[in-house]
Amino acid sequence: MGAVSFRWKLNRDPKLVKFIRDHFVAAAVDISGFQPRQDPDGEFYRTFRNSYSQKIGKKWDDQGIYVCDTAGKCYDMVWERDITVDKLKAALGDFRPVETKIPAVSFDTKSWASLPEGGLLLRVVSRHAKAGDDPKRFAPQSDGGTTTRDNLWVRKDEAEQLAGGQLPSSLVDRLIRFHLVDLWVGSPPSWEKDHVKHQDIKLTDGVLRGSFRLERDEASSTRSAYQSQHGIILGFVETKDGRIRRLDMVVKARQSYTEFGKRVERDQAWSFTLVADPSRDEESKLMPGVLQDGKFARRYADYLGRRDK
Amino acid sequence: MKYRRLAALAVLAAAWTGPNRADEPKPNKPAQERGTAMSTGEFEQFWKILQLPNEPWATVAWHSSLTEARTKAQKEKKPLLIRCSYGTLHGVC
Repeated sequence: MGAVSFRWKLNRDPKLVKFIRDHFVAAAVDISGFQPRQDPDGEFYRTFRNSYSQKIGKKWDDQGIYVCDTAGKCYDMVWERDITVDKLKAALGDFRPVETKIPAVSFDTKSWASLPEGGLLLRVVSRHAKAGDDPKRFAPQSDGGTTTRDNLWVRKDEAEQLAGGQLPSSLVDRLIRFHLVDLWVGSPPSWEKDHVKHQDIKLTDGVLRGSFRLERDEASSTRSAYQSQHGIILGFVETKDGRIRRLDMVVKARQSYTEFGKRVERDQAWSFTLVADPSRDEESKLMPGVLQDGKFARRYADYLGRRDK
Repeated sequence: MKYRRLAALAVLAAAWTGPNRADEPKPNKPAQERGTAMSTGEFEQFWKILQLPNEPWATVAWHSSLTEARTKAQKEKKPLLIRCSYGTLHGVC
């Protein structure tokens, strides 16, 4: 069950949501991202997975909802599609809270990073739709539709340049190559530098405006790695006392790819919104989508525009 | 009469080739070549549509750090509920 389906399932069952909120501390982890981690998070991940393997008598490393104590003892696992209040009550079994020594939070910097110090975070919301002209095609659907969320990181020096009325080329590069992707279809590849055939995005008097065109080889084109994309962007930057107070953008693009030998066109739109205080919500702690799913080591330095990192 | 027949043939020919033309992919000119730019009105329309609705699942604080979740669970004497999947709950499928 994918994230969209699971969110939809929870949305249809407010009693289940309340039960989770009242009786558990919840976490959500990406298996590919956590498996290689050599830090307290990675160690705890392996501890409760091993505990479940021992419980069922065979090696187990699959998707599911795991109920554990803070020492890593796994009480049970519930499939996402089966999750109900009763199933969770049964999974809790004879749960008793334990006291255990928990290490301080520290991250394996080879597989995880947080928002660069002094940087800005933009919340990204995106949907795709059939090619057309009416913006209403992108309206949210009751089942969540194709909505995806993402976080875009802006480095401190880039934020300072923006506040001074300059548009850093590294930020434009990051926006185009790493965030104009479709996370809904899985783990999309980012765009390489030589895929950017045209970009003309400028910041003038607080208005960010422009267009872009991206292309990759047809041979490597798939639904998640579409062959081409072109679009336009409009954004607004406002500063107060030398600090960015508004950084909002909308991008709309037309994409084409080949599926079953047929050329398909569709549209995608994104909104980018400045998060005033990223420390206040869990979602802001997530890395940008293209860095997750085990691809961190390969993409992080390129993402931040720091080849030496 | 002859001209009427010719006109009728021309109409038939246009009708015959019409669907074929419609099936062909339309020229996919990049935005900058079409000379289009997003208007402020369009920005506002998209902006409104692309805001996140208040969804019940998001009222649960889904921790991305297991260590932080453990610390909170120990303090509140609660069990942990950990969703493990390929992709994140917030975005990637």
